[in-house]
Amino acid sequence: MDLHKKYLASLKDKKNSFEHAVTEYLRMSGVYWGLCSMYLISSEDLLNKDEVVQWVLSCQHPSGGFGGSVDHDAHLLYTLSAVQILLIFDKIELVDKEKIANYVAGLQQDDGSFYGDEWGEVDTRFSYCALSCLSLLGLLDKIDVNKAVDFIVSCMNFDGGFGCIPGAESHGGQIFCCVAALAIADSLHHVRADDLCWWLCERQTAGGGLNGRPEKLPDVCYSWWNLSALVILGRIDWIDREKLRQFILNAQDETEGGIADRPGDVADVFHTFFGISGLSLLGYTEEDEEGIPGLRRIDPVYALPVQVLERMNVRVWRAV
Amino acid sequence: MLEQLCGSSCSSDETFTIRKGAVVVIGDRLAIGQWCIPRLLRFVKQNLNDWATCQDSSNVKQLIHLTRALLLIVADHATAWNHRKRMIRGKHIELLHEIDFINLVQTKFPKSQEVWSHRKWVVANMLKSTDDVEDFLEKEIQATARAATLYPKNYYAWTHRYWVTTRMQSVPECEAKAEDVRRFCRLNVSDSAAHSFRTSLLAFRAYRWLEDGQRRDEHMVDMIRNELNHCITTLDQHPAHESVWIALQGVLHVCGQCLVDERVKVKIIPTIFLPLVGSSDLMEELRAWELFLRDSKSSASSSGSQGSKWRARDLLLAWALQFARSHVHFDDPTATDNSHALRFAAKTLSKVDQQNLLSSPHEKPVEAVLHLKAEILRLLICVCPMQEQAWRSMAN
Repeated sequence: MDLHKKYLASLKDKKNSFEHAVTEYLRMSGVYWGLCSMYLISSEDLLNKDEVVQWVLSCQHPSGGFGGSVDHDAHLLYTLSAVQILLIFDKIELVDKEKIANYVAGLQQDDGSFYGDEWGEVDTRFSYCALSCLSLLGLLDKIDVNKAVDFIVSCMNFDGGFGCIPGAESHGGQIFCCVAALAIADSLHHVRADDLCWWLCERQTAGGGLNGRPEKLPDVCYSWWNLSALVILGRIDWIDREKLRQFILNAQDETEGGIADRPGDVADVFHTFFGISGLSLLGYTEEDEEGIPGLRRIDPVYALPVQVLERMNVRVWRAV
Repeated sequence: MLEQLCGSSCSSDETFTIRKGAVVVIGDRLAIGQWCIPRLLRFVKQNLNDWATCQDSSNVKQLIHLTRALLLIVADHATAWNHRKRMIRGKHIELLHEIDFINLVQTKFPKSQEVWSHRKWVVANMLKSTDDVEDFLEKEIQATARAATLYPKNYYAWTHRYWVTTRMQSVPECEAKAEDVRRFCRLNVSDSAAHSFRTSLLAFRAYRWLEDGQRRDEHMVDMIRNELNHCITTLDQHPAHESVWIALQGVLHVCGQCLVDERVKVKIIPTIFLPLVGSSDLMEELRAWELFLRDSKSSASSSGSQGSKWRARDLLLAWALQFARSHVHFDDPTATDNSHALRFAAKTLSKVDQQNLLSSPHEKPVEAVLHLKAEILRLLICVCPMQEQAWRSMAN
């Protein structure tokens, strides 16, 4: 755990690196992954709260939306990440919630789908971002939730899975977005839970890791995408938990800290976050007597620490 | 720009030596040293915003250069693509030239979602202004084919291809496209994205056909048959590929929806389903069952057609079970082929359950099918123990 703390703390010092430069466009999400990881391992004080909050606020546009970094265009993905960061830091009162909600609501289309930004890309990821963001701000009534649900359901495939648009291939990441969005909208009855969970549990490969689509390599990030969907649908026992846990632990970098996409590869903040979250979802938290001390619980729908949601009086997910 | 930045000139007298200059030449390949990328990106960043906010036309050229440099390194930089969209709107960049630039970027970043997203925006604008829509869409399909070859299971390439193909008006063209993809699938058996494209296209055409009261798509029945035959022959040669079993599941799903049409039944059932199923015990059991159903339903409605609908669906499920069973090595549970065939069989059985074919308050359950179900689930738990709870849930 200490190595992971060291790894996460070191990220802010790598500002001149190649990786830092080429990932600037998604920095808002990167900060959310890093901060949430720190919170889950009880070390959120590693970041300078005021400095980060100021930076987040400086990425907001007059429209109300947030960009991925300073001078980057507003987008729904980074608007959600910004809200998540401010919630973890308990600084959401610094922003005009109505303004953000109006930006998000303005992206909904007639068929219920959401544009990611003014340029018109449609993707079920954006449906999730919109529903999650508005729900966290307590302003879900700004959109037509029924139509949003209709669009998501139109992206359901014969195998029970979901793609990014109607007709697109079922994919672990998209499945998380759709299932979590339907959970927020109280519309999980549309999901063919058995069919979908059979598809999801078949993603577990011989080594214990999960892949996102048939015949692909396992990747630690699916320990979040697939696993959270299984948790929401109440079928986490349909995979071998111990083998998955072992896969995630084997993907840790034992010298520098952090978690990679699979054992043997280089760690990054994205996979570190999803690996830690996966372990939390699997139940190895400090609340369990055999759990990892200091590992906190994460909510499978909002991808935020349970303690943060409880502080805000947002419903924490309990699988049916 | 690079010389300006890094103050070093490049020399390529030693073709196979890696020097610490900004630009490196190795053989016939040109590369930029990784160490100078952060500096280049800082330069671009410092200037990009200034140039973007000025409306001066001379700045536009510089903005085009800056975004081009940036996107060849960081293709996911959405804001840079957005600047280019604004320049396209301002008629400073031609749509066709932008397609050329995207093609270049995609030789290096064939799977980047941001690039495909920008491409879709450009294409949508092209479709509004071009006269030769079909020709243009054809070129788009070739672009997706290149990307799919560069990066296997390319999610966004195949999604774009689906978006483009479903816009083609000409149905024979559509069928020719389906055959191109089947050919690709024969050579790339594990490409789940390609298989998914085929089943989605089949579903798209099938639902449109079903909604058309006159059923004008003459090629629909052939397409269903071609897809089924493709799955069958591929699985007979490569039974250990999960993607193909899932594709078969998808094709059967569509086929089941289309069985309401007599032409589908008449052309597909005798040639594909009956030969394999015809004389099996399973078929006899299910035939007896459908007769019972038809008799009990005929008192409620007028239906000969209701009865024949049941018969066709039962047949399809029986065939699916029989096909899966033919690929299972019951005497050697650890055979590599087994796992996917068993899973397919189990899912088919769950469909049989869903159609209440296994029991009724009036008749005893269909024994052969129940016995098969138990056998398959027992083997599944043995072969795929990680998903034991999932298989046990199927038993209930």
